[in-house]
Amino acid sequence: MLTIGLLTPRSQLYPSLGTDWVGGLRSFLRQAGLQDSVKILTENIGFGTDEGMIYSLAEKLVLQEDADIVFLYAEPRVAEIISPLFTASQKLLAVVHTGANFPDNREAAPTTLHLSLQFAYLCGLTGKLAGCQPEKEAINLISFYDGGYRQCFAMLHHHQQEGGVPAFNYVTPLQQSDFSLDPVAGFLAAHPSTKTLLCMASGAEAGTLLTQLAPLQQQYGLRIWGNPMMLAEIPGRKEDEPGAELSGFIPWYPGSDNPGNQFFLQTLSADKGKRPNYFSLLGWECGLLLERIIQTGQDKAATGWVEDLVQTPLNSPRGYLQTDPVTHELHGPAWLGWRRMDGTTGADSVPTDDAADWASYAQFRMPAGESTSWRNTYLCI
Amino acid sequence: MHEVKALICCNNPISIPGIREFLFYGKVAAIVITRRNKEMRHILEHLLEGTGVPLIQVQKKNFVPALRDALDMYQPTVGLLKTFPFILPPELLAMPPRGFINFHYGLLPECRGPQPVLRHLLNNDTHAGVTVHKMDAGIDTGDIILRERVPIADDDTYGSLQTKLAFLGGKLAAELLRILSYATVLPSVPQDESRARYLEMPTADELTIRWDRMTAAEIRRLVNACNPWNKGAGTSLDNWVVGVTEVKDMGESLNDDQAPGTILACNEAEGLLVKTLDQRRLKLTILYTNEGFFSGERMAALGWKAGQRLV
Repeated sequence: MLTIGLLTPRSQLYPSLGTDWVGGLRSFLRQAGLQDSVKILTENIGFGTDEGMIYSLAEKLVLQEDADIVFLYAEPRVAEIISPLFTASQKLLAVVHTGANFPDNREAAPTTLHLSLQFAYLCGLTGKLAGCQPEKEAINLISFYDGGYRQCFAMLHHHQQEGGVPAFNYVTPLQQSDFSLDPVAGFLAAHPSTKTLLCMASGAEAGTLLTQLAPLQQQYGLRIWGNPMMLAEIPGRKEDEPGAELSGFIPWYPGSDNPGNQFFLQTLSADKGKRPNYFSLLGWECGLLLERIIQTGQDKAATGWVEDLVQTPLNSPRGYLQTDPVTHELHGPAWLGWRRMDGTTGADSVPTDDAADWASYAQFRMPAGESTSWRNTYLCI
Repeated sequence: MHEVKALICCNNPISIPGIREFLFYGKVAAIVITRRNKEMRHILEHLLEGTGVPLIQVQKKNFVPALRDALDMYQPTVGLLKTFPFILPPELLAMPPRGFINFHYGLLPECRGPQPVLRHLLNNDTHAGVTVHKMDAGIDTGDIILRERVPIADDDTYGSLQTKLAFLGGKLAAELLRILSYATVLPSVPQDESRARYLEMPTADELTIRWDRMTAAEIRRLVNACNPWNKGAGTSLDNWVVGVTEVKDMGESLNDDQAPGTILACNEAEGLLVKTLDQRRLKLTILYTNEGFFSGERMAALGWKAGQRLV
């Protein structure tokens, strides 16, 4: 029997994040008949800011509980200091996150995997697609919170690499009571020929932006590109509530008719009585990982499991997940999603899966020089 | 959290970014350098101003008792070595509770030895890196805690690569500090001895351009590897040895009958062009002589001309 450690997150922005993640994993194990093949030990690590606490809990799981695998829901930055513990003890560390950040060191430790929603990669693809459009000048509208993650850099960098020009940068105020798009409206009034807007937000603020951008979009004919959280279910917002129209690459299209996705939706709905989301998807994929590891055999140990995964795609609800041989990131296809003014959402029926795009991202390093970031795991505030 | 207080022994500015990390968080008990190293003394005196951290200078003949005294006096929890030139005996290595940890500015186990930065360049490696490892009785043989690679760019010189590695060393120092603070047991992995190589200091021959054996790309790599620390890769004309500090490949040579090393031109318009083994025209843009650094075309004033042959 495998012993699994789960280091679970907490979020006020998405309160069900942790339970949805664990729920997705448990649902997978139950439908696969594996719930008795694993022993699960769970610890909560809050917002992911206390590295000392995370390290201590990981050390306890590995050295005292003899966990074979630890799933850590945290940013890659945390993984970089915890990986040596797992390399030394030949245990598997699976770092689970949204992919809003990518690590400084793009070469993963031998027994560390990254399972993410690839947000930085997808934002880069969105920026690149926006930059390819004829209208090069863009307004960059970034939330105070979302701007503190590398997905923001990825979107703007790739937009500019394709010839995009930042015409106006606006960071929304920290306090909701100070929220206003007047500066953006003022810029558009003075520069009505600017037609592109790159937008990054999450949580309730994403909903506020969708509402307040709609009249500006109609007045000035804006084409709006957004990050995945602007195209996902938004807390406190009705499913078909009207708002601005936007496009952007997303990691998973719930409406996909691929059999794996349909099975995932049905199972979660029957099991939990709720619709799956990004977090339950990640949990389900952790289950897929465990299933593959069990099939590979416990005697192989962590390096053997990683080697096997590099050779073996996993059939996920979002498409096939390949494990990059250098970064050990599991990556799937990118879906071009949209949200219409009437609130409906959708995606192109055929996702993008360009090996060259992925290879470029996997080798990318932040430019030399200082940069800062929030310490919280993305969406865990 | 575990207390961290480091005694740092260093000898090269490459170690400064890593020292800064520990210094910033107040985790340095004392710093040890060699008495002869005026450059490091100057840098560290400035860096340590107002910190209260003592700077200890040792000589080869007395460094063991001097270090023992420092370890007794300052009671560090860990010792860090960063390019320190003297070999510490086992009894010193065992004194701090967490032992001594070395920052090797090269990839282990493939590049053990005193000049890993240079060796990575001379070996035409695609990557260099920094390895942080526990010290044991051997040289560069201890279990590895952290190891990270950086790509070597096509135009990297020794100096630019050293700078990259210095900042990488800083990053790894920050990670090591956190691990030392959090870990009950310091995690490490034994080196794979099947991949281990000990590479000595390069000989003068290894730092000399062999026009009859080396391609333009190989010459360029050697020249970059010697820039700036050696002032350039060696070559000579009529027994006059000069250093070639920078070169540029100017394309294919049409002078098929000229031997490799032949000067094709040495003038204001074309610069100093030399033919290579693989039929390329290599422009020697900067050279070093005892009289100073000169542009290639300046060598005409010193008697260099087309038709002469470098060896």
